[in-house]
Amino acid sequence: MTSDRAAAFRRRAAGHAEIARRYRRNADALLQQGERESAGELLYSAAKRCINAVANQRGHNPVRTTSKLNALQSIIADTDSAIDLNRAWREAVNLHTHGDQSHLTDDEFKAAWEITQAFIAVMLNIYHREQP
Amino acid sequence: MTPQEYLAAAEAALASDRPLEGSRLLWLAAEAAFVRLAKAHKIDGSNLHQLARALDAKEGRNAYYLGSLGVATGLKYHAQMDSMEPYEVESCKEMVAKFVKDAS
Repeated sequence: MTSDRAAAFRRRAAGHAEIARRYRRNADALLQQGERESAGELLYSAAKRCINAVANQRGHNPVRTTSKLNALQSIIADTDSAIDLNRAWREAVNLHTHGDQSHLTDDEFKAAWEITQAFIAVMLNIYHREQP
Repeated sequence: MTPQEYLAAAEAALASDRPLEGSRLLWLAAEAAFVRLAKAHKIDGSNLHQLARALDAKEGRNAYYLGSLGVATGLKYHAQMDSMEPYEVESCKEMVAKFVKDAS
């Protein structure tokens, strides 16, 4: 990869990380207001942005969801994470589905919320740790 | 049925192109594994989320059991709502299979 292209990816990564943090803040605020479906959907979007942030910083540009999942597998393969990121990602997806179906029980939503928050924290930590 | 029997039935259903039934059976495999863990650890298993949190705390694991329950929960609802793509079911199947084997 050329240095220009790498720099462009890093700028894009920084943008994704900033948006992820903003989405997380807004999701927290929405949850405080009792807007569980919107909050969950936004937290899922924050988790997705985190994958893009780390992948972009590493010089990849996953656009489709399947590409993001491949990027996540690559991140998992060479990162020692405190949580199982595959399982945590599925909880983010559960929140995404809940945004459409409003189907999760209180216990299920609480678990999905907590674990997705952990996913975002770990991914942003990886992003910061790998900054050049 | 044992967790392993549910798992085998799920794999047979998925192999014969019945993904919703396979997903339902994967949920049942995970649920049965949690019930078995509750008995083995002498923890109340009537609330699976409380059980998963207790198992994580007891073993010092960072949301492994709670996350496994989340994966299985996604499959349970997929069986009812047809909400997952085939590659997602495959990925979840691998995680549930590992969980069931670890729990045995």
